Amino acid sequence: MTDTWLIILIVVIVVILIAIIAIVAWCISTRNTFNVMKVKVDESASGIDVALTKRFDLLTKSLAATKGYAKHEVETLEKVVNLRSGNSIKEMSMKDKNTLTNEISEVSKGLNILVEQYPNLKADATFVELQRQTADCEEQLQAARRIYNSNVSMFNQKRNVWPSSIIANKIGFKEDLDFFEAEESKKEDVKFDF
Amino acid sequence: MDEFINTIESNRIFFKKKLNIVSIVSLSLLGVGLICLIIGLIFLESTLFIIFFLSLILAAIIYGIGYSIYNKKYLSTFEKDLEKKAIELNYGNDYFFNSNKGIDFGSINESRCVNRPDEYHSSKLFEAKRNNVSFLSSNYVFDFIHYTTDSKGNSRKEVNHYNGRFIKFTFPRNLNAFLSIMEKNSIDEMIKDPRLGEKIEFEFMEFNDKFTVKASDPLKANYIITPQVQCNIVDFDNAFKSDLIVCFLDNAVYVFMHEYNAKMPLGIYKEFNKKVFDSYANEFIIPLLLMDALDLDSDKYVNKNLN
Repeated sequence: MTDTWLIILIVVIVVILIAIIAIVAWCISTRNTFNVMKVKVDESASGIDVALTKRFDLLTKSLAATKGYAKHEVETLEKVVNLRSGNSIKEMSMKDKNTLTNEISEVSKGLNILVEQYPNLKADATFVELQRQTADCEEQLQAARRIYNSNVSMFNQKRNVWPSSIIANKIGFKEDLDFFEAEESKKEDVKFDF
Repeated sequence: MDEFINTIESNRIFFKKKLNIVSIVSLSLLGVGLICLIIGLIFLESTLFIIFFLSLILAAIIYGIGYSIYNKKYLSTFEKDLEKKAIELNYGNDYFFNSNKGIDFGSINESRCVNRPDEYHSSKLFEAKRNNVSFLSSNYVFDFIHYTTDSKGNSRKEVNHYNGRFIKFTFPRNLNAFLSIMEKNSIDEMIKDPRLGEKIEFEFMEFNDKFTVKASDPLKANYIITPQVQCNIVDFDNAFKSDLIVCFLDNAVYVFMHEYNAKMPLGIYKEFNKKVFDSYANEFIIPLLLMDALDLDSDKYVNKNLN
């Protein structure tokens, strides 16, 4: 009788130990997954920073190149850009980056309208090169945005699903990460249209 | 173009009318059979049941043969012209296409991503060029034959088929590197892991979840697989339901759309119009879509001094 109880006790202890080890392993693994995901989100956010900084610099250069043709109009556009020139893009919140992107788009639209009025500017080699680089940069920004938003979506999904939400709250991921919203005009972009 | 589409459509209607006659014959036979069945049920006459089953089988055979003949006739009357039109629409006159010829196994084997099959078939060889990038594309079928012996000692032959589309792009610059992008779970009897280079992860989690990337030079991998290319590959993979395998080796890219079955929108019962033509023509723009997705037109595949 004593032996039977001893065996049962050992079995129960082993089962409990296995359960504890499994739970601890799952906690460590989930914690690591969250950390890895956060690193990926940060990496993709830095992709946005790089593209946005480049886009901002190109816009400044484009405005400088246009100044010789339409000084007064460019100065008006420059005022918007100068508001932001003192701030580091890296240190901005995602909301501020959204605002900056929209401002850049607005200034770019203004610049494009201006260019239409000056055919010589349209043919200027420096300006043409800047326009080409701007188009490339826009593509980079779109890709960076897409990657960031996809990563944030995966992170937020994992953060909100039980039981991983318990670990997320424990390690300090208490709120969903912000998306980098697309401008209204670019939400309609479709890559493979059959 | 409208005239071409109208000609094909009138051809389709012509053959469909012929098939309708066959359908009427089959239905009449089926009708006779049904009458026999009813009478058989009333009078419990077994011979009539046999006549019913025979007429049912005969009707199915006649219709099947008729459909096969007229559908084949309909397709064969214009398939070559259709292929020509579809290709010329996107490539002008500078191309080579032969639906009976395929690509040799040696070219596929250069990719280092396939095992040698027991039997190999290839068709629809297509060669063309855009800017500095030339490509050749072909359908493939790999057969792996196995012999098994059951408990009674009888030997049995089993053939595993693997099919898909292969495209090889060649560009001017030699990258002096190897890079493979393989869709996870694509490894099977035909597709093998080249086991070259180190595994690389990118910032795009969806891309990492779908693909395994290995490269001989991680710097070059980041240079080739930019964030845009990562997005494009994911989009391409979602658009075409196949296992995607992409191998960069020196001055070429080898792409396998493994287990990809081309959509065949043509059929005697389907109206032929501009939409059907476009969907057929889309099969030929796959190489162009891949060139865009992989950014092969970029200067980095031409100029050695770019970073």
